[in-house]
Amino acid sequence: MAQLVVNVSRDFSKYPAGRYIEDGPASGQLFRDKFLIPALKEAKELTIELDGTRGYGSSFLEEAFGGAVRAGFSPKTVKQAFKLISNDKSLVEEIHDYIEHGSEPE
Amino acid sequence: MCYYPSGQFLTQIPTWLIVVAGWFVVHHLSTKRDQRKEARERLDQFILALRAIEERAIQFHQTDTYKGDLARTLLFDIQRIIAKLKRHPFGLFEVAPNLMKELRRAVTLKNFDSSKFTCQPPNSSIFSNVANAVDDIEDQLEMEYERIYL
Repeated sequence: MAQLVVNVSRDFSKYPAGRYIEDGPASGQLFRDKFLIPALKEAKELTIELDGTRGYGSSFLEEAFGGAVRAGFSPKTVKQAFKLISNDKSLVEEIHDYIEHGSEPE
Repeated sequence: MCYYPSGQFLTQIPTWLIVVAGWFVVHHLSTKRDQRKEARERLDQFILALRAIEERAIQFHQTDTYKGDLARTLLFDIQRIIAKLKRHPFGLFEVAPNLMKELRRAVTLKNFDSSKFTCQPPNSSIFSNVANAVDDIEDQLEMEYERIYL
């Protein structure tokens, strides 16, 4: 498996926010479509560096990671595909929650 | 310099030992008291910041029209408060990541984006979720303060 790294602050936005594309220029939907789905389709392991942004909204996280499961990938596949790096344990824990329950949107 | 016959000097050793030990005890207790006072002040400030997030969250979810600037402020404030927990004196506190996750979720999961925003009625579950998340963090911090400093 090839290894890729995405630093959210550097490669996407310092201000990731919003669930859908109509909610803003750095939404969870856009992040999912731009980084997560391509990595899942190509079976590439993606390291995601989460620190450095000015915060995350849960709706962003749910749409990005939970949405990846709703797109047809199993929670196990999604969890294995992404290596989450953050000093904030609550963030990683929350993303794992959305992956586990991604097929039940809140 | 005074001259003491050796017998007299030996009898004073316990007195000096008591004086030195007393100084150490007083110094130790004074340091502990200062640390406790400083931790209390920082905890009070932290709780105020937490309550301010709760107030802003209620304000945000109760406005008639979506306020993007308020949403961004809430994101920054939650991020700041989580970062604060890693700094002195909170580094000593054991705070489950789950509590911070619940706060972020309560404020920013539902009704947080412009596309689906609606003014929430007073009995909305969002408000009780936010209040519960804030109370849980406050309770945990108070317990940790007592465990470490009292």
